[in-house]
Amino acid sequence: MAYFNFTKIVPPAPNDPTVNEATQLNNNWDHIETKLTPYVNGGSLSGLEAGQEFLGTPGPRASVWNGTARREPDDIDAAWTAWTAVPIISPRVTRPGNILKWRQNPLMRKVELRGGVLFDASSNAWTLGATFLITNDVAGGIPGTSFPVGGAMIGPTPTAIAAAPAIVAGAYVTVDKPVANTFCRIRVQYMGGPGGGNFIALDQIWWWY
Amino acid sequence: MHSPTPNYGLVRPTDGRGLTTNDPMNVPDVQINPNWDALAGVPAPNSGTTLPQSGSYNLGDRFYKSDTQSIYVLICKDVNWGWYWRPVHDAISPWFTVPTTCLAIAGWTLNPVPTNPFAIALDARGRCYWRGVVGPTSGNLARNTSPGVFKPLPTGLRPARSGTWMLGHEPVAVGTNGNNLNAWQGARIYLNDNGDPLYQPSIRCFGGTADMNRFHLTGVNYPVGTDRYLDV
Repeated sequence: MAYFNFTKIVPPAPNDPTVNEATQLNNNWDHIETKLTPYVNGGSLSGLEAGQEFLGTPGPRASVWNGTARREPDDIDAAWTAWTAVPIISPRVTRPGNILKWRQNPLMRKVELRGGVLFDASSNAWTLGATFLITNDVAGGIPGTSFPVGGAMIGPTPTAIAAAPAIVAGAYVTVDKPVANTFCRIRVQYMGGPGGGNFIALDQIWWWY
Repeated sequence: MHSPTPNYGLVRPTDGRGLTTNDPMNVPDVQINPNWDALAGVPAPNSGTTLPQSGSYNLGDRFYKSDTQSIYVLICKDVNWGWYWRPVHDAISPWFTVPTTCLAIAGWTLNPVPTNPFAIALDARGRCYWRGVVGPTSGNLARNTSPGVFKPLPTGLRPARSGTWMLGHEPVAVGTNGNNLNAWQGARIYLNDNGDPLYQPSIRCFGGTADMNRFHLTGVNYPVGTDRYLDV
Protein backbone atom coordinates (compact mmCIF):
# COMPACT_ATOMS: atom_id res chain seq x y z
CA MET A 1 0.00 0.00 0.00
CA ALA A 2 1.33 3.38 -0.93
CA TYR A 3 2.29 5.64 1.91
CA PHE A 4 0.41 8.51 0.26
CA ASN A 5 -3.12 7.42 -0.40
CA PHE A 6 -4.66 10.48 -1.96
CA THR A 7 -8.11 10.31 -3.48
CA LYS A 8 -7.97 11.66 -7.00
CA ILE A 9 -10.83 13.67 -8.42
CA VAL A 10 -12.84 12.15 -11.27
CA PRO A 11 -13.92 14.63 -13.93
CA PRO A 12 -17.66 15.02 -14.39
CA ALA A 13 -19.26 13.91 -17.57
CA PRO A 14 -19.54 15.84 -19.77
CA ASN A 15 -16.24 17.47 -18.83
CA ASP A 16 -16.16 21.23 -18.45
CA PRO A 17 -13.78 22.41 -21.20
CA THR A 18 -12.87 25.63 -19.41
CA VAL A 19 -12.14 24.38 -15.96
CA ASN A 20 -10.44 21.06 -15.71
CA GLU A 21 -10.45 20.79 -11.96
CA ALA A 22 -9.34 17.22 -12.07
CA THR A 23 -6.17 18.07 -13.97
CA GLN A 24 -5.33 21.00 -11.76
CA LEU A 25 -5.99 19.27 -8.49
CA ASN A 26 -4.31 16.08 -9.52
CA ASN A 27 -1.28 18.05 -10.62
CA ASN A 28 -1.03 19.30 -7.08
CA TRP A 29 -1.39 15.88 -5.55
CA ASP A 30 1.32 14.64 -7.88
CA HIS A 31 3.48 17.55 -6.89
CA ILE A 32 3.01 16.94 -3.20
CA GLU A 33 3.73 13.28 -3.67
CA THR A 34 6.89 14.05 -5.60
CA LYS A 35 8.10 16.35 -2.84
CA LEU A 36 7.18 14.20 0.10
CA THR A 37 7.93 10.72 -1.16
CA PRO A 38 11.68 11.20 -0.66
CA TYR A 39 11.02 11.66 3.05
CA VAL A 40 10.04 8.03 3.15
CA ASN A 41 11.62 6.34 0.21
CA GLY A 42 14.61 8.48 -0.74
CA GLY A 43 14.90 8.95 -4.48
CA SER A 44 14.92 12.27 -6.28
CA LEU A 45 15.33 15.06 -3.78
CA SER A 46 15.66 18.01 -6.07
CA GLY A 47 12.72 19.78 -4.48
CA LEU A 48 14.07 19.80 -0.93
CA GLU A 49 15.57 22.70 0.93
CA ALA A 50 19.06 22.40 2.38
CA GLY A 51 18.56 21.55 6.01
CA GLN A 52 15.44 19.44 5.57
CA GLU A 53 15.50 16.05 7.23
CA PHE A 54 14.06 12.89 5.77
CA LEU A 55 14.04 9.16 6.29
CA GLY A 56 16.72 7.61 4.15
CA THR A 57 16.96 4.36 2.26
CA PRO A 58 17.82 1.71 3.24
CA GLY A 59 15.98 1.85 6.49
CA PRO A 60 14.76 4.79 8.49
CA ARG A 61 17.80 6.93 9.04
CA ALA A 62 18.12 10.54 10.07
CA SER A 63 19.44 11.97 6.85
CA VAL A 64 19.59 15.65 6.04
CA TRP A 65 19.59 17.22 2.58
CA ASN A 66 22.64 19.45 2.12
CA GLY A 67 21.40 21.03 -1.10
CA THR A 68 22.89 18.51 -3.49
CA ALA A 69 23.08 15.20 -1.64
CA ARG A 70 21.97 13.40 1.47
CA ARG A 71 24.09 13.67 4.58
CA GLU A 72 23.99 10.92 7.17
CA PRO A 73 25.43 10.97 10.68
CA ASP A 74 29.19 10.70 10.87
CA ASP A 75 30.53 7.27 11.71
CA ILE A 76 32.56 8.11 14.78
CA ASP A 77 33.99 4.63 15.27
CA ALA A 78 35.17 4.27 11.69
CA ALA A 79 37.02 7.58 11.89
CA TRP A 80 39.55 6.40 14.47
CA THR A 81 43.00 5.72 13.07
CA ALA A 82 44.80 2.54 13.96
CA TRP A 83 46.72 2.43 17.23
CA THR A 84 50.32 3.39 16.48
CA ALA A 85 53.30 2.92 18.76
CA VAL A 86 54.78 6.10 20.23
CA PRO A 87 58.57 6.38 19.88
CA ILE A 88 60.01 6.67 23.37
CA ILE A 89 63.12 8.57 24.44
CA SER A 90 65.77 6.30 26.01
CA PRO A 91 66.27 5.24 28.77
CA ARG A 92 62.48 5.25 29.25
CA VAL A 93 60.91 2.18 27.65
CA THR A 94 57.40 1.08 26.93
CA ARG A 95 55.91 -1.58 29.15
CA PRO A 96 55.68 -5.03 27.57
CA GLY A 97 52.04 -5.98 27.36
CA ASN A 98 51.00 -2.34 27.61
CA ILE A 99 52.72 -0.84 24.60
CA LEU A 100 52.37 2.93 24.56
CA LYS A 101 50.27 3.78 21.50
CA TRP A 102 48.22 6.66 20.20
CA ARG A 103 45.33 7.15 17.83
CA GLN A 104 43.34 10.10 16.60
CA ASN A 105 39.85 10.82 15.33
CA PRO A 106 39.64 13.64 12.78
CA LEU A 107 35.88 13.94 13.26
CA MET A 108 36.25 14.43 16.99
CA ARG A 109 39.60 16.17 16.64
CA LYS A 110 40.75 14.06 19.55
CA VAL A 111 43.93 12.11 20.34
CA GLU A 112 43.96 9.21 22.79
CA LEU A 113 46.81 7.32 24.38
CA ARG A 114 46.98 3.83 25.77
CA GLY A 115 49.67 1.73 27.40
CA GLY A 116 52.40 2.59 29.85
CA VAL A 117 56.03 3.42 30.30
CA LEU A 118 58.75 2.06 32.56
CA PHE A 119 61.53 4.08 34.11
CA ASP A 120 64.02 1.90 32.26
CA ALA A 121 64.41 -1.59 30.89
CA SER A 122 65.18 -2.88 34.40
CA SER A 123 61.99 -1.36 35.84
CA ASN A 124 63.92 0.75 38.30
CA ALA A 125 61.93 3.09 40.52
CA TRP A 126 60.85 6.47 39.31
CA THR A 127 62.39 9.47 41.02
CA LEU A 128 59.88 11.30 43.13
CA GLY A 129 58.91 14.68 41.80
CA ALA A 130 61.11 14.48 38.75
CA THR A 131 59.87 15.07 35.22
CA PHE A 132 60.77 12.63 32.50
CA LEU A 133 60.64 13.05 28.76
CA ILE A 134 58.64 10.26 27.12
CA THR A 135 58.68 11.41 23.52
CA ASN A 136 59.80 14.49 21.72
CA ASP A 137 60.68 15.64 18.24
CA VAL A 138 61.21 12.12 16.98
CA ALA A 139 60.29 10.84 13.54
CA GLY A 140 57.22 8.66 13.74
CA GLY A 141 55.87 10.55 16.74
CA ILE A 142 52.49 12.20 17.15
CA PRO A 143 52.46 14.91 14.48
CA GLY A 144 52.37 18.54 15.48
CA THR A 145 49.12 18.93 13.56
CA SER A 146 47.55 17.05 16.46
CA PHE A 147 49.05 19.05 19.28
CA PRO A 148 46.66 20.16 22.06
CA VAL A 149 44.43 23.11 21.34
CA GLY A 150 45.25 25.95 23.68
CA GLY A 151 48.95 25.13 23.84
CA ALA A 152 49.31 22.34 26.40
CA MET A 153 47.31 19.60 28.06
CA ILE A 154 48.02 18.67 31.67
CA GLY A 155 46.28 15.71 33.19
CA PRO A 156 46.60 13.21 36.01
CA THR A 157 47.35 9.56 35.45
CA PRO A 158 47.89 6.50 37.67
CA THR A 159 51.06 4.56 38.34
CA ALA A 160 52.28 1.41 40.01
CA ILE A 161 49.25 -0.72 39.36
CA ALA A 162 51.15 -3.88 38.50
CA ALA A 163 53.64 -3.52 41.33
CA ALA A 164 51.00 -4.12 43.97
CA PRO A 165 47.30 -3.69 43.33
CA ALA A 166 46.66 -2.21 46.75
CA ILE A 167 49.21 0.52 46.25
CA VAL A 168 48.49 3.51 44.08
CA ALA A 169 50.53 6.50 43.16
CA GLY A 170 50.12 9.36 40.80
CA ALA A 171 51.78 11.08 37.92
CA TYR A 172 51.09 14.09 35.80
CA VAL A 173 51.33 14.18 32.06
CA THR A 174 52.04 17.28 30.02
CA VAL A 175 51.56 17.25 26.27
CA ASP A 176 52.69 20.19 24.19
CA LYS A 177 54.56 21.11 21.05
CA PRO A 178 57.58 23.33 21.43
CA VAL A 179 57.75 25.81 18.60
CA ALA A 180 60.66 24.13 16.87
CA ASN A 181 59.11 20.70 17.09
CA THR A 182 57.52 18.83 14.24
CA PHE A 183 56.06 16.28 16.64
CA CYS A 184 54.30 16.48 19.99
CA ARG A 185 56.22 16.30 23.25
CA ILE A 186 55.01 14.17 26.16
CA ARG A 187 56.46 14.48 29.66
CA VAL A 188 55.47 12.80 32.90
CA GLN A 189 56.14 13.82 36.46
CA TYR A 190 56.12 11.06 39.02
CA MET A 191 54.16 12.19 42.06
CA GLY A 192 54.97 9.27 44.30
CA GLY A 193 52.95 7.15 46.63
CA PRO A 194 53.61 4.64 49.39
CA GLY A 195 55.71 1.90 47.93
CA GLY A 196 56.41 3.53 44.62
CA GLY A 197 55.67 1.91 41.33
CA ASN A 198 57.17 0.39 38.30
CA PHE A 199 55.22 1.94 35.47
CA ILE A 200 53.13 4.94 34.61
CA ALA A 201 49.91 4.26 32.74
CA LEU A 202 48.76 6.71 30.10
CA ASP A 203 45.43 5.09 29.26
CA GLN A 204 43.37 7.99 30.51
CA ILE A 205 45.30 10.68 28.70
CA TRP A 206 43.65 12.35 25.75
CA TRP A 207 43.51 15.78 24.30
CA TRP A 208 41.70 17.84 21.69
CA TYR A 209 43.41 19.31 18.67
CA MET B 1 14.78 31.05 -0.51
CA HIS B 2 12.14 29.45 -2.66
CA SER B 3 9.13 27.62 -1.34
CA PRO B 4 9.38 23.86 -1.43
CA THR B 5 5.97 23.58 -3.07
CA PRO B 6 4.98 26.15 -5.72
CA ASN B 7 1.33 26.97 -6.09
CA TYR B 8 -0.88 25.60 -8.80
CA GLY B 9 -3.85 27.99 -8.66
CA LEU B 10 -7.24 27.10 -9.98
CA VAL B 11 -9.05 29.30 -12.48
CA ARG B 12 -12.48 30.50 -11.51
CA PRO B 13 -15.20 29.04 -13.72
CA THR B 14 -17.28 31.30 -15.97
CA ASP B 15 -20.84 31.15 -17.11
CA GLY B 16 -19.91 30.82 -20.76
CA ARG B 17 -20.11 34.58 -21.45
CA GLY B 18 -16.89 35.45 -19.71
CA LEU B 19 -18.61 36.38 -16.47
CA THR B 20 -17.99 34.68 -13.20
CA THR B 21 -20.85 32.86 -11.63
CA ASN B 22 -22.27 33.67 -8.25
CA ASP B 23 -22.68 30.09 -7.23
CA PRO B 24 -21.09 29.83 -3.78
CA MET B 25 -20.65 26.12 -4.34
CA ASN B 26 -18.61 26.70 -7.47
CA VAL B 27 -15.63 28.80 -6.39
CA PRO B 28 -12.96 26.14 -6.10
CA ASP B 29 -10.15 28.67 -6.34
CA VAL B 30 -11.29 30.45 -3.20
CA GLN B 31 -11.97 27.23 -1.44
CA ILE B 32 -8.88 25.28 -2.37
CA ASN B 33 -6.08 27.72 -3.12
CA PRO B 34 -5.59 28.68 0.54
CA ASN B 35 -4.66 25.07 1.11
CA TRP B 36 -1.92 25.26 -1.47
CA ASP B 37 -0.80 28.53 0.05
CA ALA B 38 -0.58 26.90 3.46
CA LEU B 39 1.54 24.06 2.11
CA ALA B 40 3.75 26.37 0.09
CA GLY B 41 4.13 28.72 3.03
CA VAL B 42 5.95 26.22 5.19
CA PRO B 43 9.17 28.04 6.04
CA ALA B 44 12.57 26.72 5.12
CA PRO B 45 14.59 25.19 7.97
CA ASN B 46 16.50 27.63 10.13
CA SER B 47 20.10 27.45 9.09
CA GLY B 48 23.44 29.19 9.31
CA THR B 49 27.06 28.63 10.18
CA THR B 50 26.77 29.81 13.80
CA LEU B 51 24.55 28.02 16.28
CA PRO B 52 22.23 30.63 17.84
CA GLN B 53 22.82 31.77 21.39
CA SER B 54 19.60 33.77 21.50
CA GLY B 55 16.31 34.12 19.66
CA SER B 56 12.93 32.46 19.62
CA TYR B 57 14.12 28.90 20.09
CA ASN B 58 12.79 26.31 22.50
CA LEU B 59 14.51 23.24 23.86
CA GLY B 60 14.34 20.51 21.22
CA ASP B 61 14.34 22.97 18.33
CA ARG B 62 16.49 22.08 15.37
CA PHE B 63 18.98 24.14 13.43
CA TYR B 64 20.85 23.25 10.26
CA LYS B 65 24.54 24.13 10.47
CA SER B 66 25.14 24.69 6.81
CA ASP B 67 28.95 24.67 6.77
CA THR B 68 29.27 21.25 8.39
CA GLN B 69 25.92 20.06 6.99
CA SER B 70 24.47 18.79 10.21
CA ILE B 71 21.27 19.20 12.15
CA TYR B 72 21.70 20.40 15.75
CA VAL B 73 19.21 20.08 18.59
CA LEU B 74 19.00 22.71 21.32
CA ILE B 75 19.38 20.86 24.63
CA CYS B 76 20.26 23.61 27.09
CA LYS B 77 19.21 27.24 27.50
CA ASP B 78 20.62 28.78 30.63
CA VAL B 79 20.99 32.41 31.54
CA ASN B 80 24.31 31.74 33.30
CA TRP B 81 25.85 28.91 31.28
CA GLY B 82 24.60 29.81 27.80
CA TRP B 83 23.05 27.71 25.05
CA TYR B 84 24.23 24.27 23.96
CA TRP B 85 23.36 22.39 20.78
CA ARG B 86 23.81 18.68 20.32
CA PRO B 87 24.79 17.41 16.85
CA VAL B 88 22.88 14.80 14.90
CA HIS B 89 25.10 14.34 11.85
CA ASP B 90 28.37 15.87 13.02
CA ALA B 91 30.37 13.65 15.36
CA ILE B 92 30.90 16.49 17.83
CA SER B 93 29.68 20.06 18.21
CA PRO B 94 31.85 23.13 17.98
CA TRP B 95 33.40 24.13 21.31
CA PHE B 96 31.06 26.50 23.09
CA THR B 97 33.03 29.01 25.12
CA VAL B 98 31.36 29.19 28.52
CA PRO B 99 30.46 32.74 29.60
CA THR B 100 31.92 34.15 32.79
CA THR B 101 28.41 34.36 34.22
CA CYS B 102 28.80 30.66 35.11
CA LEU B 103 31.13 31.66 37.96
CA ALA B 104 29.55 31.71 41.39
CA ILE B 105 32.30 33.32 43.44
CA ALA B 106 34.53 36.32 43.08
CA GLY B 107 38.25 36.01 42.59
CA TRP B 108 38.16 33.30 39.91
CA THR B 109 38.61 33.53 36.20
CA LEU B 110 37.73 31.25 33.32
CA ASN B 111 40.56 32.58 31.28
CA PRO B 112 43.93 32.56 33.07
CA VAL B 113 45.38 31.11 29.84
CA PRO B 114 43.82 33.18 27.06
CA THR B 115 44.55 30.59 24.40
CA ASN B 116 42.79 27.87 26.37
CA PRO B 117 39.44 29.17 27.67
CA PHE B 118 36.85 27.07 29.47
CA ALA B 119 34.76 25.45 26.73
CA ILE B 120 32.25 22.64 26.46
CA ALA B 121 31.39 20.38 23.51
CA LEU B 122 28.72 17.73 23.01
CA ASP B 123 29.00 14.70 20.79
CA ALA B 124 26.36 12.87 18.77
CA ARG B 125 26.14 10.14 21.41
CA GLY B 126 25.13 12.48 24.19
CA ARG B 127 28.47 12.84 25.93
CA CYS B 128 29.68 16.16 27.24
CA TYR B 129 33.34 17.19 27.16
CA TRP B 130 35.11 20.00 28.98
CA ARG B 131 38.43 21.61 28.26
CA GLY B 132 40.30 24.77 29.11
CA VAL B 133 41.90 26.22 32.18
CA VAL B 134 40.30 27.96 35.17
CA GLY B 135 41.78 29.32 38.36
CA PRO B 136 42.02 32.15 40.87
CA THR B 137 42.50 35.56 39.33
CA SER B 138 45.57 36.04 41.49
CA GLY B 139 47.34 33.96 44.08
CA ASN B 140 46.57 30.31 44.71
CA LEU B 141 43.73 28.12 45.83
CA ALA B 142 44.39 27.00 49.38
CA ARG B 143 44.71 23.24 49.57
CA ASN B 144 42.05 21.14 51.24
CA THR B 145 39.31 23.68 50.68
CA SER B 146 36.34 23.19 48.35
CA PRO B 147 34.94 26.45 47.03
CA GLY B 148 31.80 26.19 44.95
CA VAL B 149 33.38 27.82 41.95
CA PHE B 150 30.51 27.48 39.51
CA LYS B 151 26.82 28.18 39.56
CA PRO B 152 24.77 24.97 39.49
CA LEU B 153 24.94 23.06 36.25
CA PRO B 154 21.73 23.58 34.29
CA THR B 155 19.46 20.86 32.99
CA GLY B 156 20.91 19.62 29.74
CA LEU B 157 24.50 19.86 30.92
CA ARG B 158 24.26 17.83 34.11
CA PRO B 159 25.86 14.40 34.14
CA ALA B 160 23.68 11.32 34.34
CA ARG B 161 25.32 10.57 37.69
CA SER B 162 26.98 12.99 40.02
CA GLY B 163 30.66 12.32 40.28
CA THR B 164 34.21 13.46 40.76
CA TRP B 165 36.79 13.98 38.08
CA MET B 166 40.52 14.49 38.60
CA LEU B 167 41.96 17.65 37.12
CA GLY B 168 45.33 18.58 35.81
CA HIS B 169 46.86 21.39 37.83
CA GLU B 170 49.75 23.82 37.92
CA PRO B 171 52.19 24.21 39.44
CA VAL B 172 52.82 20.51 39.58
CA ALA B 173 54.83 20.03 42.74
CA VAL B 174 55.34 17.23 45.23
CA GLY B 175 56.74 16.71 48.65
CA THR B 176 60.17 15.35 49.30
CA ASN B 177 59.10 12.20 51.08
CA GLY B 178 57.21 9.71 49.00
CA ASN B 179 56.11 7.80 52.09
CA ASN B 180 54.46 10.82 53.65
CA LEU B 181 50.72 10.70 53.13
CA ASN B 182 50.73 14.41 52.32
CA ALA B 183 53.62 14.23 49.93
CA TRP B 184 51.70 13.96 46.66
CA GLN B 185 48.88 16.05 45.43
CA GLY B 186 45.98 16.35 43.09
CA ALA B 187 42.89 18.33 42.28
CA ARG B 188 39.35 17.37 41.52
CA ILE B 189 35.99 18.77 40.53
CA TYR B 190 32.65 17.49 41.78
CA LEU B 191 29.62 17.80 39.49
CA ASN B 192 26.02 17.47 40.56
CA ASP B 193 23.26 15.59 38.79
CA ASN B 194 19.51 16.15 38.71
CA GLY B 195 19.18 14.80 42.24
CA ASP B 196 20.98 17.83 43.59
CA PRO B 197 20.26 20.55 41.04
CA LEU B 198 21.24 23.43 43.31
CA TYR B 199 24.72 22.14 44.13
CA GLN B 200 27.53 24.35 42.91
CA PRO B 201 30.34 22.39 41.22
CA SER B 202 33.33 22.66 43.51
CA ILE B 203 37.06 22.43 42.91
CA ARG B 204 39.42 21.11 45.55
CA CYS B 205 43.13 20.51 45.59
CA PHE B 206 44.94 18.45 48.16
CA GLY B 207 48.32 17.18 49.28
CA GLY B 208 51.69 18.25 48.07
CA THR B 209 53.85 21.05 49.29
CA ALA B 210 52.89 23.80 46.86
CA ASP B 211 49.62 25.60 46.25
CA MET B 212 48.02 25.61 42.84
CA ASN B 213 46.39 28.24 40.72
CA ARG B 214 45.53 26.69 37.38
CA PHE B 215 43.20 23.78 36.87
CA HIS B 216 42.95 21.92 33.58
CA LEU B 217 39.52 20.56 32.70
CA THR B 218 40.33 18.26 29.78
CA GLY B 219 39.70 15.13 31.83
CA VAL B 220 36.06 15.99 32.51
CA ASN B 221 33.64 14.04 30.32
CA TYR B 222 30.36 12.35 31.04
CA PRO B 223 27.04 11.32 29.51
CA VAL B 224 24.49 14.10 29.80
CA GLY B 225 21.14 13.29 31.35
CA THR B 226 19.94 11.55 34.44
CA ASP B 227 19.35 8.02 35.54
CA ARG B 228 18.82 9.29 39.03
CA TYR B 229 15.37 7.82 39.22
CA LEU B 230 16.51 4.41 38.05
CA ASP B 231 19.38 4.17 40.51
CA VAL B 232 17.76 2.55 43.52
